[in-house]
Amino acid sequence: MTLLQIEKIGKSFGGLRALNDVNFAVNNGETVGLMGANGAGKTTLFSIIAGHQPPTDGIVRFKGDQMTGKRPDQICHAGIARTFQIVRPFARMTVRENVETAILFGGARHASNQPLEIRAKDILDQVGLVDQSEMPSGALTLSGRKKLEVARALGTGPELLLLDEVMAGLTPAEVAKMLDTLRAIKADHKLTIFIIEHVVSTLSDLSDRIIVLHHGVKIAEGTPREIAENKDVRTVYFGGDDT
Amino acid sequence: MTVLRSDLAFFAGLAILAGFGLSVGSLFGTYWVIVALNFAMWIALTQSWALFSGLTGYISLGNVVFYGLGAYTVAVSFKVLPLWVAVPMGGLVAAVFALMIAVPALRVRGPYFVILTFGISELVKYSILNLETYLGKSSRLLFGAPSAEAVLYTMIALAVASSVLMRLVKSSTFGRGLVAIQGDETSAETVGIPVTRFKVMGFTLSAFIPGMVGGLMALRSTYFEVLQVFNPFISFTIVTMAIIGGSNDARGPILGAAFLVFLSELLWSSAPRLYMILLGAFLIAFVLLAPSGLVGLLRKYGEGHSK
Repeated sequence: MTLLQIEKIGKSFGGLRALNDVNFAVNNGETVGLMGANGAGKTTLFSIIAGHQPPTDGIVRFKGDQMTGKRPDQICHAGIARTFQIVRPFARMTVRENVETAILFGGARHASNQPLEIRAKDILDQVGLVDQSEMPSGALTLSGRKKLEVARALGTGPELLLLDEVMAGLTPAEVAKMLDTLRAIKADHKLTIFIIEHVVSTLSDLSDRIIVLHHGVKIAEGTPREIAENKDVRTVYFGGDDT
Repeated sequence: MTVLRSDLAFFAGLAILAGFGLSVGSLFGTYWVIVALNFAMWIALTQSWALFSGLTGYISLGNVVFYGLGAYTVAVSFKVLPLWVAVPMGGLVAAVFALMIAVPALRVRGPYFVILTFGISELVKYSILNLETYLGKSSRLLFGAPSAEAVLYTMIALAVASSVLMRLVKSSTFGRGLVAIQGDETSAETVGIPVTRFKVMGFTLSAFIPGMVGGLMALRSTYFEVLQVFNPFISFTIVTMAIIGGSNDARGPILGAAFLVFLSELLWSSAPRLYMILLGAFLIAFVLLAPSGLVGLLRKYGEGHSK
């Protein structure tokens, strides 16, 4: 079943065409990777799906309903959560309060009548942050803050999780741990994951399918193996003149 | 359970303070009625400011506009409407005005919001000044206003109401949303907070009590003069009290107002210049050394003791 449908999405910033006629679908239960060089339009696409930027053309559908034109909070309530590449914790709140806030306002706020604190701790436990629950969110390390982004997104009770480079800047050991975490939460929360990642091997490891953007255009879509063998992708990644 | 106990302590403290304020006239005489009135007024104004600016981080430097509109409402309707209608009406006018300017004003953040709120308050001041000149009124006298005691009692009620409101909002889901907006507005939207609606609601709510305070103060001074009522110094004092007391906790505005009111009582008549210098020095010291204000110091001290 199609969960997320991207139809003819285009986005212009003045004269710059950041996305052009992008079409694809993400199916229920899949993990789909989004790959592309810097400036390929990956984060812009996430911002359009989450409602932070309106597209210039095209429609985003989630479970058949049109999301384009809705506010970010409405899209959150529809069941889409995102993390930010540049982490954005709530300042002046502890780690636990950050997650509690997401539970309090997210789409799944009435899903359970367990105390807020316990629900938050459960999620923090899953991402490996429970020991830092009472720390101010600003005091976390980068890896901690990336985990908090994931925890807060989970707190809203999403069906679709948009992960924007949650492993960038982490050590190999931390990346391995994050991969395990993502697999575990995917199974546990019955999630569909749409993930941006720079490191091709990490993305291939995790994804059922990969979509490749280049200068705002989708140039390839397929299984990790198909993508690795795709000529256009190889040209862009290994033979092209832009990294 | 600790939350409950601290709530109890807060409300008990507030009740004692209010009771003391109510009996200050019979205990110490008329002079202290004026001091108590001043104190209650600044609590109500600063508490209302903290409700929006303290929680969301949208620093308003124009809150005098709500006070002024309330005063103007009461002055204009004096002897036309009964006071128990006119004073709440002043609050209502201020709140409606806040609602009208909220959507455009709250699109900007940081220094732009600060300047914008200041600009709006000046704009309203000069608009009303011109309106009054056009109507041929240089000032309005309010003959037969109620006694200082009656004004004091009402003001204490407003100080208590604003403190209780701040406390309730702070611990509510709505308050959590406002604090999240301060933490990161984009993240707030992303986790499902209707950011615009919350900001508009908070801003409007924070205007109501200052409008009533302005109406009461017009009755207290028995005349209405635009430049005096819309004096930007009122806005500055509110922010100063919030910074010194701390503005993300209902205790902060009370402490800040107490600190400045009594400092000014101590020095205003004997050494007015020294008062202004000290005020500046304290402001700098708090901004640099204790950004969470007196309430932050209190919390630290408390934590030190419980360890």
